[in-house]
Amino acid sequence: MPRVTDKQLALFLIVPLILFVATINIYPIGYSLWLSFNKINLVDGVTNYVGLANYLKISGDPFLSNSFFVSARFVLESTALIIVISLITALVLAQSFRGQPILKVIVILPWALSEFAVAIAGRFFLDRNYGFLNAFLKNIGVVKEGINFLDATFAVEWLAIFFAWNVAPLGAYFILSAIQTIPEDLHKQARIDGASPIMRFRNVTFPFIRYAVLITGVLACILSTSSVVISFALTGGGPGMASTPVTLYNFRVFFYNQDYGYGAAISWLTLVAVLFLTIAYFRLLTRRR
Amino acid sequence: MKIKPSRVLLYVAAIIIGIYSIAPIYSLVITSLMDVRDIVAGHIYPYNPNINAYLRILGYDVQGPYGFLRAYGGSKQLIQGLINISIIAPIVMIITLIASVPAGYALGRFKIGRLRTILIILLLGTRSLPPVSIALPYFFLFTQLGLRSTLQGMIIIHLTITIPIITWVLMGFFAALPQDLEKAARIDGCSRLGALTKVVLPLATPGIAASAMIAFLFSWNDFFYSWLISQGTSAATYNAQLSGFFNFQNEPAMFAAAVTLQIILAAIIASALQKYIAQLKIVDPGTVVVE
Repeated sequence: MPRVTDKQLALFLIVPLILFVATINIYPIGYSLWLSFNKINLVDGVTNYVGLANYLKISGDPFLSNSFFVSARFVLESTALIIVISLITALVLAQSFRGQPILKVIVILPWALSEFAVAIAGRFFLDRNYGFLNAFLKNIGVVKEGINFLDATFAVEWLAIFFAWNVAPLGAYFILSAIQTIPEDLHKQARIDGASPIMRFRNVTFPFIRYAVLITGVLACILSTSSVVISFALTGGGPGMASTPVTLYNFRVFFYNQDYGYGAAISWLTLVAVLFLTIAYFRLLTRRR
Repeated sequence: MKIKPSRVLLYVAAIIIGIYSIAPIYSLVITSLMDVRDIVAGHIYPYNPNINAYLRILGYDVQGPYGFLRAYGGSKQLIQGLINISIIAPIVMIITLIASVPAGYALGRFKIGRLRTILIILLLGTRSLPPVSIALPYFFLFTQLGLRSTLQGMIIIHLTITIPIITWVLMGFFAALPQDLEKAARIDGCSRLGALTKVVLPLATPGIAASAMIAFLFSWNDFFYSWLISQGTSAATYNAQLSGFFNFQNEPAMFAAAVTLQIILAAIIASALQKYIAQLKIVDPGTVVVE
């Protein structure tokens, strides 16, 4: 039997993956690119080449520019929330106290829910008539009438809160495992030197977890930019278009308006945004620490 | 005994985090156990807890405190959805492991230069493709190939999510495993493949177990692609069937019960997974590999 070199064995192990990954990437992206330069007439099934018309339509679409602002708000808010919540959770979980093992299990539960279940849980939590939050506020006497939490002003904020609720456990575990790499002696030394908790966090803990926090942030950006299910199922994009991010608007253009060419053109906006974020992510991974 | 203020602060923070993590799930579960009138009355825990909602979505007529309640009309589809996803998710899990364990091993352990960098970029790209951007091409492709209302189609679409993610996780995991034992086995005359099966795989059991759970969880939880490819067909998964509840506003308890049924298994798996995650010490797995 001829001896197989490492490289050949590696190729043998990876080739199926290369084929798979290449097909599932290249086909949809290529198709969507082709689609964005065409207009499909659904009545007679004729496809016409329209050049850049679909892309030019983007600048004159008030719904789209509205959903841009919604997306930006949603991404910024959920990323900020995810970073803060996962950081605090990780710092608490890193301490040893009674009940810490139980808390570790409880904390991961929101992550176990599908984005859809999160959205539905959000609906049950916030509903004006039978929601838990209203019932609770009424019980402790803060309000008399049910509040409509998902109004035009704050619907996006609630989307961000529930999205962060879903994703933050992942970040918390990232940061927690980074905290666990800090040598015990450093904290002891700092305590002997009389450093306050805040100083210890800034000078001892933070340098070790900075990288994990950054990763969490970029990952949160990528996930929230491409997220569609939460707005689809929690607010349905409403009231009106008040909480419709680009992805959900895109989805509607595809499946309700059935304007395939224009939808494909819009989808390239999200795709390019995510591409840039992914490049940032990759550079973060390759950077020497 | 004096209690330190920092200790008190820690417990307060822990309790707040616990309540925050559980509150929406709690509201969902109690709603599923309530009668409609209890829900409207705005109780924060069920006064007369009952499982009528669960019985009704599973297709039984029940006698409630406020009279006779008919079974949910869509219960057949819902149960079919449950059966479908119970077939799909384990198969997805197994195929994912068959594809990802060797690939993760090769990417994590071999020094194959530029090819590896390109593959890692491809994997990362696949992992972060926005679902909406690729939804329509997939929809057309699956329709044309006749895969749209089949379980095979659902398995394939789920694999497009799980394989990149699990390969990514395993790549980091294999790279972080100590190399010495494998080297020793090689020196003792083991082939690379022999070292893989006899030395590395047994060491990698926790990582592979965690990967299996994650793959199952992603398949079990997927809503978007399942909805896209299978909604309204006989291959519809449980999650896809749940979207039928959207126009079912006057029966909150049943909707809550249907979603709770979906969550239970996911929650059990995640609690089991949590121990492994702590063991694995993975920041993003990519960090171990790309140096």
